[in-house]
Amino acid sequence: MRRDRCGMAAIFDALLFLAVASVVSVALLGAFAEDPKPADRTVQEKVEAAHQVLLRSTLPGGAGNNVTVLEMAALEVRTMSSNRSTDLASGALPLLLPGMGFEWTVDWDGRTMTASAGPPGGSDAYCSLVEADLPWGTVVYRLRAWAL
Amino acid sequence: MERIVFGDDEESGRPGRSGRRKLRENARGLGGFYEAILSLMVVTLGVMLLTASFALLSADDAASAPEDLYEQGRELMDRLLSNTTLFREDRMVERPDLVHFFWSGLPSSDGPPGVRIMITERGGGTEVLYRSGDPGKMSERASLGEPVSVWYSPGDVRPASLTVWVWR
Repeated sequence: MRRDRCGMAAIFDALLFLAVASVVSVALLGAFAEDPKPADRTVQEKVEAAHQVLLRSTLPGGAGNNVTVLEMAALEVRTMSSNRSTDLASGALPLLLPGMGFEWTVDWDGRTMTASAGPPGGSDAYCSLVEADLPWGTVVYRLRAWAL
Repeated sequence: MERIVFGDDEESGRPGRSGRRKLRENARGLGGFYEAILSLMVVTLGVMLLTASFALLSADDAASAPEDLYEQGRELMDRLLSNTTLFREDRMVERPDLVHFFWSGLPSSDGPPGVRIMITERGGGTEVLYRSGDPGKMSERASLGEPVSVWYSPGDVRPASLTVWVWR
């Protein structure tokens, strides 16, 4: 051990390198790591607004009266007869949430209707949940969106 | 010419047996102190290059999307959405109000020189509601859009995107 000066030099160099690498890493993280919270809040508000705008949009109903997407989707998920509400969602959500992938689902009593676009989202997904109490039960509308 | 001597066979001036074996069988791969310093310098230079690349990348991002210009656009959009003459309900605008609204009174005097406010309805085109400044002279631009509902009649509410462009 006393004569192994090569080994001691290597250990000294390694420690020196680790110290330099640590300082540089901390400097890099401090300079380039962003605080995602303000952006998250803005995007979350936008997703909730898009969901609100979608649900109160109207489309022609069966009896000649126009109904909202909220009402039409609740009827469709109950009867599973058509998918006009999901068609409207597929057309409107890319306009309301440009540059984002989305999945809009309507759930009632174990039945589900879905409209989606874009590849499956990663961990940074934003969600808006709306529940409507109707005579035949509670219908749950869920919009999940993520950056592409 | 100077002869390099390895090992401890100093009498003959030839590399010693033990010295040659020590180099050949240097399985640990360890060099001397100065060789290690040289390696350290190379690695440090690499890290410095990486840092410089990050700095240049960050500078480029800042040039393409200036934060203060985006904030000015955000402020204008917030003033639009909170205007009760235009939006009588939350994000619900009546179609006639879009036409008759006094748009020129909206941007502030200390705002950006170039502003364009547009609305795009689903299935329809994009309509320019207000414009000021010459877009041909823009050097930096920021844009943002917000979802709104356009009310035509009690049974006709359409989804739309309200977009604000600001530039200088």
